[in-house]
Amino acid sequence: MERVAVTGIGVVSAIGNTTADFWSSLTHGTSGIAPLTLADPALFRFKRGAEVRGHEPLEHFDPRRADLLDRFAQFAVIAARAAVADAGVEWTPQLRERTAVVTGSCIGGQSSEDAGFFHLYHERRASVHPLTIPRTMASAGASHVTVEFGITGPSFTVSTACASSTHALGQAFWLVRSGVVDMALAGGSEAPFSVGILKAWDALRVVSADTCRPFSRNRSGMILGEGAAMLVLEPRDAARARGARIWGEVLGFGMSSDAGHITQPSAEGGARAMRQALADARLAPEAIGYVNAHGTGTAANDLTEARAIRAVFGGHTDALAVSSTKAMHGHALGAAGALEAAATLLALHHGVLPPTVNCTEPDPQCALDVVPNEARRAAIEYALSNSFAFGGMNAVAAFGAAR
Amino acid sequence: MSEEWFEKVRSIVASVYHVPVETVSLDKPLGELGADSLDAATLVFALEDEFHVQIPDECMDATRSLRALAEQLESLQSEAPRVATADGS
Repeated sequence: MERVAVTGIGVVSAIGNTTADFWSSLTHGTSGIAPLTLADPALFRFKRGAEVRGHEPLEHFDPRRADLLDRFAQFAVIAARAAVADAGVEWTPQLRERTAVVTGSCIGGQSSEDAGFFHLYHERRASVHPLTIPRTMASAGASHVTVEFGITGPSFTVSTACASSTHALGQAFWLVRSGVVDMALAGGSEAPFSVGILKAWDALRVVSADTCRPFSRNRSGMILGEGAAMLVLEPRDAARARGARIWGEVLGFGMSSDAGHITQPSAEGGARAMRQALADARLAPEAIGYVNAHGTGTAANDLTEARAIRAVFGGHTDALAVSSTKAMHGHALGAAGALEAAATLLALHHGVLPPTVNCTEPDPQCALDVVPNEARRAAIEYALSNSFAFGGMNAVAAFGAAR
Repeated sequence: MSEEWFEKVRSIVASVYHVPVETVSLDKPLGELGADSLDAATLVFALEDEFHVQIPDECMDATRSLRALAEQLESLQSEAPRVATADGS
């Protein structure tokens, strides 16, 4: 089995469209949550979101290609370009054939579908745009990434709601670890700021009317976000041999199902996924120094996740730093796990833990060290990143600092 | 058939394919306007949407010229009832 290094990171997010800007925001506690601009806030109970700023498709794609790609697929390609450049990948025909692309997305290009259905139902037009299907496919992001680089190895997309891109990363990790491929581009992307989609979230009554305050007693719900993160994974020995910079390693991956409620999470399910990830990484719970929490800022998540963490880590919980970065980059649904994987790897690399911002009244019921409001310097060797999705689909990745 | 009508068709082709309108020749076969079947479908959609007609597949024969299609569009528009919409209107 190969050890799996992360040699490239690419990010598109509400808190920065480069890895450097993303990391700077994370360490300064800068939140990307702001008044909605991509849809009329008057239409919703919530008024704010974590939107990607200044995205101009024509700065990244020629006009004909831009037509083909929904915003979520554009984000996937842009993040993949940055990750590949960061890793300094030198493509050969053999490498292209031995590289996998695995992406996660919860809703794919439903914004394009929403626009098409508006045309059909509201404007009473006779037909929808013929690119509606190619733009809406949840796998379009992965497809366009293969086209971008001429990658001819395996490609697929995982859709497990808000755990999508952690599941995607896990599959890619296992493909590289087992030697099925020599490289993988893994991550996810999402772009949910379309009226129909936002209305559906509004109806669930889980989106905060003001802001996201994970693990804080005055929490009022989640804030939707968007963006993408892509990672380049390759065998550590190969990465070293070619002199690549190693951000960190993916050491293990765990999954579980709650087999319970379609939206209410269970602590047992989350705990099982964390234990699976630790076992897969051959790590004792006491080895973990940091957990990047799912941390949505809903009472259902925060209390359940805190219980799950305590169930796994026992007495070590008190020595564990746990933060949710969602109060900064928002809940980017199928892209969330990938953004948080990037945040976790950067934390290991820089020896700085990103804070849980807006945590003005740490909730004693959660009883975790949530790194409130200010980043903290801490040399951590091992970390977990949790993704607990609607439907009880749990995915946890274990990371290690480069050594 | 008015010049205006031809110009309208040319401008739709130009906007669908993101090319300058002066490069869109009415004498070009339809098959040479776009790159593939997706392009052709996109053009049909744009024309149908603009002229409120339903264009039969045979009108999009790749060997026919844009001029022939434009001429046919006019007759389609004058004879065809409005295409049904989602609410049945």
